[in-house]
Amino acid sequence: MIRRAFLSGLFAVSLLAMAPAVSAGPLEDESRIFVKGLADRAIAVLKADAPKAQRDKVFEDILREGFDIKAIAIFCVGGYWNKMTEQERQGYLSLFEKLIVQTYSSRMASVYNGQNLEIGAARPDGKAGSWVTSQIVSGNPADQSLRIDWRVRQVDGKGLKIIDVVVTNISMVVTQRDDFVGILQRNNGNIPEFIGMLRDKVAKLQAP
Amino acid sequence: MKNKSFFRFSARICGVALAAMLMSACATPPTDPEARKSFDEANDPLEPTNRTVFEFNMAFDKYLLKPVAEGYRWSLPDDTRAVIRRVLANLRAPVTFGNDVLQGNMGRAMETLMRMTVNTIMGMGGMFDVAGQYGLQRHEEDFGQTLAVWGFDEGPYIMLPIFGPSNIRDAIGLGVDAVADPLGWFIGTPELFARAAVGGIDRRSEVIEPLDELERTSVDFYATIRSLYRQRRNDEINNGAPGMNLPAPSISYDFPDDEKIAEPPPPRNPAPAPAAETPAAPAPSLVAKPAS
Repeated sequence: MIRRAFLSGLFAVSLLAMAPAVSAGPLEDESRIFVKGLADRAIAVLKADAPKAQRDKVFEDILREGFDIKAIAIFCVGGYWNKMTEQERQGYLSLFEKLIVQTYSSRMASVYNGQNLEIGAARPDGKAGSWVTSQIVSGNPADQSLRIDWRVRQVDGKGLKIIDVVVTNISMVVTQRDDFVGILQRNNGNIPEFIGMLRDKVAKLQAP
Repeated sequence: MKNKSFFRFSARICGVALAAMLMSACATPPTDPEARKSFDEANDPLEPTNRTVFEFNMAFDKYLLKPVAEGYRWSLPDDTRAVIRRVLANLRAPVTFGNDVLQGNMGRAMETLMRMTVNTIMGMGGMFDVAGQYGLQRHEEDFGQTLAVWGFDEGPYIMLPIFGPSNIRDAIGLGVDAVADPLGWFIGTPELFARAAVGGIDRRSEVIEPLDELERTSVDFYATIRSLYRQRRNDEINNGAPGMNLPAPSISYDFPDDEKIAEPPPPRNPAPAPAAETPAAPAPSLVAKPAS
């Protein structure tokens, strides 16, 4: 079970080859183009097999420009956000961004093997959002393709932002949330300790 | 029935696991409302025991399973391993067929039956996936999924020794599939064990790097596995239908643009609707639970 789930995660931000698809409206079309643009950049750096520092930088840029990182970060600590002091929130947000960059930069580099991402159709998700579907396809027809759904929404004044990446029905955001809440649950909601653990994890992952 | 002793052995494993669970203390539900909410969402009242079993599984993996899987991958060419995988998958087809039928999915049952027939005869005992070339894609079903389709709740999460993450429903399913597997009519217990062992090693060999990465990047590896297991099972129960398992983070926070955030698409299982006014996004209940 872990395999598909995981491989999926690895490709969460990935590569695209545009495929003709049916779309519902202007927001959906815009979202498809938006996702493709971000994925193209991730693919390019993975294809180039760039050094870690450079790859991390590209992933950081993609994350900052393309994702509603603050909304995702808040979701990922569940109700514990309300218990964080302003200072803890700032510390957490900064570590969260670093953790996500490191996690996906390293996961994807470890499994990327020339696959491409084909953007499929998009469908509305409420008034201000859409789901963009896509498939990871490898050159080998024997491999099964992986479905990736991107949840995109319109954020006031900032344009389109991704708020979740769902790989074969496994949500990266929910998985991250369950990871964090698992820790917070276990240490009785000790937020300083949790932030300390994040700091250690980020330091470990950032090491070349 | 030749697989009687296999069943007896499995029953013994389950018995030991169950006894261990009963003897160990359950986690005490926290009193803090927020902590209580995440406690309920995790659906893991046996967490302390489960974490101990998880430690054991990790050690088992580190010292035995992973090294063997690495050796297996290193010593056999890709093509050979692919043949082994296809033969094992074909041997599993009767169980999938039975569960397709029990789930009332005759279309998928026919697919499984045709695949099994074509691949056993023309694919030389399942060594080659001839049916796949004609567009009959493989799928798997198990009795845990059948129980879910029949409306059974997943029950508390359980970390089984060796077998890994599960829950009450899926653990029962595992036992039923093992006992009911028609393969047991034809081969003896040692062969059934050999099949299980090779299957386990083969599956492990497929995820060496991904699991390493997952462990390296998780803050709480145990909780990450628990989350992935639940989401994955829900996807399998819904036969991978898109949008059926959607995370439903209505990502509704104390943000100025809260009103703009749409409700998630309705999941197939009637999950409790996320309340729009809840300040923190409600956790998606991935499997329907009775209202507590």
